[in-house]
Amino acid sequence: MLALTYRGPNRIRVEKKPAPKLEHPNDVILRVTRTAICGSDLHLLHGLIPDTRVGCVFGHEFAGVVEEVGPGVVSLTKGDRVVVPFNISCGTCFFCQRGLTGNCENTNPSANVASGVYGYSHTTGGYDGGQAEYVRVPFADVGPMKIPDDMTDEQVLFLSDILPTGYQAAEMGEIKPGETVVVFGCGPVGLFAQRSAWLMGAGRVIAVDPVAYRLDFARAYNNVETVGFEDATGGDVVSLLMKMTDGRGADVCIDAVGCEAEGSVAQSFLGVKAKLMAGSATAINWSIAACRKAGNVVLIGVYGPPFNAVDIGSAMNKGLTLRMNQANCKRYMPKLLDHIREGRIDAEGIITHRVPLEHAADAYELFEKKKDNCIKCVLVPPMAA
Amino acid sequence: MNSQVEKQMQIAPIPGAGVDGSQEARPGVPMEKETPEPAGNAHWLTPQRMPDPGWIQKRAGLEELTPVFGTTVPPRGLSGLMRRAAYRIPEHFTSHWLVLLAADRVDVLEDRLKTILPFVVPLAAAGVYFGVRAQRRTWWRALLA
Ligand SMILES: [Zn+2]
Ligand SMILES: [Zn+2]
Repeated sequence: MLALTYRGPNRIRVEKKPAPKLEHPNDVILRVTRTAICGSDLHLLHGLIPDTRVGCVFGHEFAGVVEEVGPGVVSLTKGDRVVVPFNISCGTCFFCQRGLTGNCENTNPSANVASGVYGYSHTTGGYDGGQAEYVRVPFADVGPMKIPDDMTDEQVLFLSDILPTGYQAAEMGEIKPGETVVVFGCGPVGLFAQRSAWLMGAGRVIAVDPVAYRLDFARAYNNVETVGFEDATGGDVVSLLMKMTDGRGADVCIDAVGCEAEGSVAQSFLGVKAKLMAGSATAINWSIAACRKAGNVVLIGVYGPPFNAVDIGSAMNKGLTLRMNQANCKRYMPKLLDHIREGRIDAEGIITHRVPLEHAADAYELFEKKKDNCIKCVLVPPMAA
Repeated sequence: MNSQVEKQMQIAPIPGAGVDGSQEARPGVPMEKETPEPAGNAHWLTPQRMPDPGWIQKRAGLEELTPVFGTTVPPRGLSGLMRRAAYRIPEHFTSHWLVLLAADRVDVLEDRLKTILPFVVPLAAAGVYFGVRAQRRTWWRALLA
């Protein structure tokens, strides 16, 4: 089969690989019909995530058709169309039973930091990902959700990660009606966090991003106020946000950027260029600085282990509540499917590019370099074209 | 729904604004479910274990492998040895991650070497052979002269 494989930092290529096999009675093999490139795939591409091995396949956002069914699977049969959460979850461990499927303790032998994740290095369990023609899906009775007959794969594809991630971010912010929410980042997750903030009754949503076309997109898609780095004197975004919020700060700040944030020369140099810490902590520091005292700061951007220069002292002294987690997608899928169906969230509306899987490397470049006003790029395997 | 939410919905900036205004409408509240229950259609208490292929690296402190794990790219070569060393260090030590990151770079170098080795080895062998032959010839000549 064709698959996008990692060859080293900034080197990926589509090549032939043996198709995956059933390895556990509750596995299914999925024929991928749509798969997306995620912002967090870029951290892998740049070699920032430890134990990313040459030859592994990326991709944790995908939908497809069940091709082969393990003997222990009861809820899926060959031919079913499903969308799959990026978390691999057993369904019955301490965490899964409490709704925290993103923290499952039965699927990742390598690290105690997360559940197993498709195509995201050996730090999350060493699973091959879905940017391929076929993918092995463990615990098929737990994660996958059948796609309703009247809906397309693209309409529901983002239930796999970015939509639950954005929604859970807004939820962790404990937004009360009328509150002011600042979302750092107008990438796909930031866009969905902004939209979810409105759904939760925010009175004001302010989006921050250095890239002009992404701010334009956020305004058109979400009706938010926007702040670009150029809007702030000397690039001082935090001071501008403070001014916009009566000098007090926002009630809720959400970091939807993660470890490759721009905006601070020192952070970018130490974290991204010299790799002396796990990426740049600019977005989380700005979130802490622009949040009002006793407000909520939410962290959903991806940071690799082990450490970052985060202004934890200010967070303590301001009495902030810091909340963060990988999205427990499974719990959000039915509710968000409903929002999509009712037209409250046009999830596929953020797709700007559809690229054949064969040209996945070009698609990564397009997305990474933010060419051609790219927001979200979907890969189409040859058999699904 | 309180009056603030209703007011918000009148100036709705997007369709459905405020619809999840109350905490009860939010599917992940509270973050930890108060009454634990299996997720999805899990029909086991303890999941069945996958057979251990013998080379899976597990973190320090984990008694046995998790029931399910990924099997992409077994450790190999020098980078594999480095990874083995890394997984003996608990992950709350920075050195665990630094050794893994170093192993990642070595893995890339090994992969590049493997790609060029089929060309480099015969060329180097030929070079050594002809070099020695040429040198031997001059050495004999020198002796005869
Ligand atoms: Zn993702
Ligand atoms: Zn679990």
